[in-house]
Amino acid sequence: MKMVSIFVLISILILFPAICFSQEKSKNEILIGLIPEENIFRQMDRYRPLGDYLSNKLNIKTRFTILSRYGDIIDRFLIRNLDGAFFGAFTSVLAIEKLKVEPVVRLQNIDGTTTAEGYIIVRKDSGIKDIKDMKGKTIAFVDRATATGFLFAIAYFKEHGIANPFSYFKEYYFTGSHDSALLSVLDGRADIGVVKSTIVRERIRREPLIENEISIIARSMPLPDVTLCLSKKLDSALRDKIKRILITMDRDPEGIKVLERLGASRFINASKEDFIPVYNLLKKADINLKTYRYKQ
Amino acid sequence: MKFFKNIFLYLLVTFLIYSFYNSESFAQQKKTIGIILPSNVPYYEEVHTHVLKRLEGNIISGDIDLLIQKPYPDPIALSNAVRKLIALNVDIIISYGTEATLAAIREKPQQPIIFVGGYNPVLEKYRSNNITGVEFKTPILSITRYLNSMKEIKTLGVVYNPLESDSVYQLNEFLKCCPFYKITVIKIPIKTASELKKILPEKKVDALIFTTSSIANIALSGFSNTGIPVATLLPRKDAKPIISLYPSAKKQAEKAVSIIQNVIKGKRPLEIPRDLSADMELIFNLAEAYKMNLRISADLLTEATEVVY
Repeated sequence: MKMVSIFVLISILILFPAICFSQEKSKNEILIGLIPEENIFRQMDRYRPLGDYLSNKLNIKTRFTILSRYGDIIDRFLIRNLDGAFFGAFTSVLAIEKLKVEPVVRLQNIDGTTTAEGYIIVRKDSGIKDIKDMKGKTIAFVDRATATGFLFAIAYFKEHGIANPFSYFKEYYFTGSHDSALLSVLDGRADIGVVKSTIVRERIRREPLIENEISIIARSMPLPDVTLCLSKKLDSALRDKIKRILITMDRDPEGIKVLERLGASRFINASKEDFIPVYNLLKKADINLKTYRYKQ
Repeated sequence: MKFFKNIFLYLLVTFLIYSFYNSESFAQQKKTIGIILPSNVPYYEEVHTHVLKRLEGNIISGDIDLLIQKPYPDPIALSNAVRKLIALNVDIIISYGTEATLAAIREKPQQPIIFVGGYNPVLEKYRSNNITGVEFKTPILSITRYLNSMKEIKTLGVVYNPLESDSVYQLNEFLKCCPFYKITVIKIPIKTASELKKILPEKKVDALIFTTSSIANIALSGFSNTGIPVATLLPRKDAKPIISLYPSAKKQAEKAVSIIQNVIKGKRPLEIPRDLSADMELIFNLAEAYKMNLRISADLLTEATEVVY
């Protein structure tokens, strides 16, 4: 008995510093994930200054990492021991349900919007005017784990009497990013694309001729756009501090510059209630999150 | 009144029986398919090879005879080829490419015309009871964007044939969209493939685009490495364009065979909608780009359906 007690005591003495050290380590660096919603190089370019800004303000090195695929996000979050991530609408809901993260802030775009819509787009010269014309065509989705690039379209098709959208099309595929879904339609590699409105608008801003090339056949209701969700494992004081820094950065000249690089005007509060429209879409699409296979 | 009604009913029933018998007997007869395949355009050869493979798999051997004409892709040679097929009284005419199809349409044959690889903006206006087929559109804006993202282009040479309507249409599209990218379009009209070598040295261009013209495609074959980046809207394996953007040969063939089968079964072309699906192939030749010190960014490469290393 005495031997067992000594063994337990020694184990505690060995393990305690290790545990303390690992907590200390997590406080020395914050790692935040980014979903690959656009060209990853451009996306990293946009977010890097925000990492530097948070590092300075928190005095803790803050790094971003791009999660290679939407479908991997939940696994990657756990494997890489992330402290948080900027999620899309669907991945936020997945993370809230599966990772027990907390929505903290949302980005407000330059035009004042904090939401994005899903678009079903076609080339104007495709001859596709409505859902009937889509039968037997090729459709490009973004990923199974996107609201604007997949979920809304599935809900839309089901609402329009198409019980099995996948067999309605000749071919379907997932492009992995909204940018790519848009380009697939523009290049004629897909007849139909499901893509986020903000990505389309941004592309049109850079290349106005694109507006003459695409038609929007359907659009979703406004859905919460990019949202920072933080792990509840992260110290609550630190979570609050991060939120405070982000919410007030539009009043800091240095913060304004970072927001400009990010293509945003400010951060606003986010809550779980923001995602009610996504939960509604899940119902319409007949998707149960507990059994849903969001990985491809 | 009753008499006229009976006459009308009699005529209607007779017509229906005749139509039914006619389509049934058409379907049962051995068919001769006449094919117009412009020579020296490997893309059409490739589509045709896929068509033959699929036909062999789907139609009992011996059910069809094929009569293939491979004229040089100029309007006179194409028209002569169509006339031969009409004279030989083929049952169906299959034409590859826009100009071969236009040649077939001009001859006003009684036979059904099924076109493959037809350029929609040109063929759209030619609609009649005996024409159907597989068509495509070329996204001019896309190829301009991709080419421009590899190299800053100020002058873009567009190789086209004034006698081929599809290439003239594409030239006009380039003229519309290039000013947006601050690119000046330099017209390079050729009526024979050899003209390119004579004309090109007179033109100062940062890059070249070959339109879907068959003549331009033949010229692309002999186009030696001049250090000028080349993009093409009709592929050619014996040339090395940096970017190729064109409709998938396999998919064109797949859709064509489905139409051919329906016509063989007795359906009239009018009843078979033309197929205009998006099945474009986007190919980047990385090896050639490196030789010219051009960088194709990773995000561009992810868009490609094929990358040549």
